[in-house]
Amino acid sequence: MAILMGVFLLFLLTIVALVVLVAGAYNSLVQLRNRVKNAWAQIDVQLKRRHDLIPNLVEVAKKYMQHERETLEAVIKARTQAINVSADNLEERVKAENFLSQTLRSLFAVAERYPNLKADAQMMRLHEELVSTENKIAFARQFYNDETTLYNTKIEMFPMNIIAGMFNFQKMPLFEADEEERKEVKIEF
Amino acid sequence: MRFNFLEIKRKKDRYVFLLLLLLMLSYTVGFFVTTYAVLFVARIGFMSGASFPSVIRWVNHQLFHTRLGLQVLLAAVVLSLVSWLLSGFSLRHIVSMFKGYPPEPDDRYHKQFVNIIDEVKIASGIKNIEPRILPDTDINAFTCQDFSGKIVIGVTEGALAKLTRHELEAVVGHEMGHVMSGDVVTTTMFSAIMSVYAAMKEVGLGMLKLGLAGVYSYRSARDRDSRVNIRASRSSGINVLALIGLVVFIISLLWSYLNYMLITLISRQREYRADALAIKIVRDPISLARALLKIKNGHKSVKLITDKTVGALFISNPFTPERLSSGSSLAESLFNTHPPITDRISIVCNIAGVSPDELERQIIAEEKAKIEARSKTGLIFLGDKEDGADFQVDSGADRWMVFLDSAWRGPFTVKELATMGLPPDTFIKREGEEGHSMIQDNPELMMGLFGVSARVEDAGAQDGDEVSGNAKKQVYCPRCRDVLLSRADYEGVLVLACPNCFGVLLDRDHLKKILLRKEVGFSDDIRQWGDKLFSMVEISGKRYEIAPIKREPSFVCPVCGDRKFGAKQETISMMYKRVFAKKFPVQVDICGLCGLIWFDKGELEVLQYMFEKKAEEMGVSVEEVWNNIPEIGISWGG
Ligand SMILES: [Zn+2]
Ligand SMILES: [Zn+2]
Repeated sequence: MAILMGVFLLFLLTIVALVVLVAGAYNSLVQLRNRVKNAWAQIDVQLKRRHDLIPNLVEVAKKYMQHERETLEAVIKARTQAINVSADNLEERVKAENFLSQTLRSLFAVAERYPNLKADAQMMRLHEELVSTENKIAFARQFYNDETTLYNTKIEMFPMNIIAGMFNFQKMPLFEADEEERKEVKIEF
Repeated sequence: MRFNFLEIKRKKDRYVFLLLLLLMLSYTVGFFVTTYAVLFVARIGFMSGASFPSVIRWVNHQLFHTRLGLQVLLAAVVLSLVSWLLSGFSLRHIVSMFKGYPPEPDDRYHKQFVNIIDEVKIASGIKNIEPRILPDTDINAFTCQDFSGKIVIGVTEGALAKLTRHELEAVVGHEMGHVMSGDVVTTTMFSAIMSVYAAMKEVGLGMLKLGLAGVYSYRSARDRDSRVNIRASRSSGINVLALIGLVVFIISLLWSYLNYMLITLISRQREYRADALAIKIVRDPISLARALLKIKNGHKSVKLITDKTVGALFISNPFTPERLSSGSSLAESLFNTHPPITDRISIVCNIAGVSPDELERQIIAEEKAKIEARSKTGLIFLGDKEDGADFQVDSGADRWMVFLDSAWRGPFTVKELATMGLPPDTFIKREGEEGHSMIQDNPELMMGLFGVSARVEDAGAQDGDEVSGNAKKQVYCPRCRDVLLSRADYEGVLVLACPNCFGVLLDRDHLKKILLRKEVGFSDDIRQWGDKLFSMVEISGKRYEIAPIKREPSFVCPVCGDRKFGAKQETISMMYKRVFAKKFPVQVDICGLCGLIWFDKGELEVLQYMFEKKAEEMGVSVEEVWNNIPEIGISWGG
């Protein structure tokens, strides 16, 4: 009787311990996932800001660049695409935003040929805002990638992979760095 | 890269603790030396005829065998703790010493700096960074941080005007490097403590002067009256005061140098480290090298910051420009908070893989090309409908004929007349009528043209507004009277300009900013105009002969003029006709009350052209030309 009680108690304790462990693991995964979501929110703010700036930019650029219709239209099209991707489909959004970055870069490359446009005070202000937004996106993306890598590694490792599978934690997409990004510099003193 | 915050915090704590230990040591030594010296001097002074060994014996006894020694030690420890804590919360005090101000969001150059700080906030995860602008025209930047963790990063107007965005990013990266490596708190505290020593030196000097003055007056009194019955103790009391003052002065001097040396020794490497971190953060060593080169080349200009104790906080110490090159003596490098800037440049250039000379040639060539490519567009209106900048047409108003150049011309509206700069004795007549009169005989026209406006009754309503160049306030053109001034961009500065006559209203600070920046190009007309004004200065040298006077009455100041008239005071504040300065005889209108300056069309460009030409001729920077102007706004006699 006493032995049975002991076994039963042991069994109960094991169950409780297991539940506590799983709950702890689950909570830590939720925490990590929230951090990834926060990091994404930071990017999101900047992406929205970029969407808001582009119509003004095109408006000002139009005055000086009548012969660059295609470049301007490409930017507008890329922006519309980026806005219309559903907010939940991260992978698609990442793709669309990267494409928008490319078209913007080519727009600024073309604008170099128009000194009057470059000297326009409104253009200067818009350009500065866009450059800053691009930088902020880049930094926020670094932050997002760091958090996501941490999360993705965690849900792939034993025993977290079991819990992640049980509660349907899925891997998050990473932002691919594009070629234009600045390379890390080696420092030797 | 991501930053390891625990690591940063640990380093910071170590530095701060080290500073406390150093502080206690220096306070204890300093207190004992001071007390010893004061006791010694006092004993000698009061006990005339006492032998030296006996005095020393007495002082030793007082200091080491009574409670006094313990008290001095206690006082030193307590005071070092107090000053350590105080200095840890002294951010406000230090920042206020620089006369810095928050960036103006409307200023294009300021906005860029604010943006860079925002980017750094995202990159580092550190949120409480406050951007500041210093009025200094030199290229420099500083950072400080106190115990509350709040960080201030500031740059000078000169840095904003002369550095490219990438270079500014590198400079801000350098400042963030100080934050990352945790040395900024110590440097901030050190600067705060140094300013205490500076104050002590002043007190000592004051006592010395007071004592000496007392001796002098006592002596002169004795000489005059040949009285000897003045108590001897009084003279010795004065002598002691002077001596104690001298001792305090010398000791605080030595003491501050000792501390200075200690701090430079423990933080010898911190500038190199911040440069390295800047490269890691911004990933652009060439821009950092270029910024350092520009700092080195621009170091000859005049400094506006007066307190030397804060030099260690800057990217390049503003007070030791002569120690820019390597190879200075050991004594010099002991007292220098920064390593020679040429050493820093060569290290950064090494990382970037370029030679400093090559980079310098590049910068010079670039600056030349930039000047040639300057745009001709000066004033650019930022059409903002909210501000009511729309042109107002006065329909149905009376129209007038004007007798000009021996013929009747017109008809003109009152608004149009106001732009023509007519003197009050001009003949006028109503359109379609015969009888003519002078402007000055017609109160309605006097009202409309010169000063007293029809808006007097609503002047009281505006009373709550701030008097400033604020774009939100409705300000009317002083020349066109009923045309609202509108927001415009000139050299990145947000100015108020008239869309009708293209005049610009400016205060001195913003004018100086405009003169520093070099975006606007000059047309041939502007160049000729400027050269003509230069030649006038050369021919006569007498200021009332230098410029043709605009024959028109003074304007009422558009900001404070009407208001004073309507609401509170009986006087109208006028804008006086002045030449800008003796050597720059551009005619401007300056308000006698608020000092705002009105530039008619082209006058701002001419002034800018003349400043740059003068700077080029003298081989100095524009800011040096500005600093050498004795007086702004000179009347031309009469
Ligand atoms: Zn006007
Ligand atoms: Zn005024």
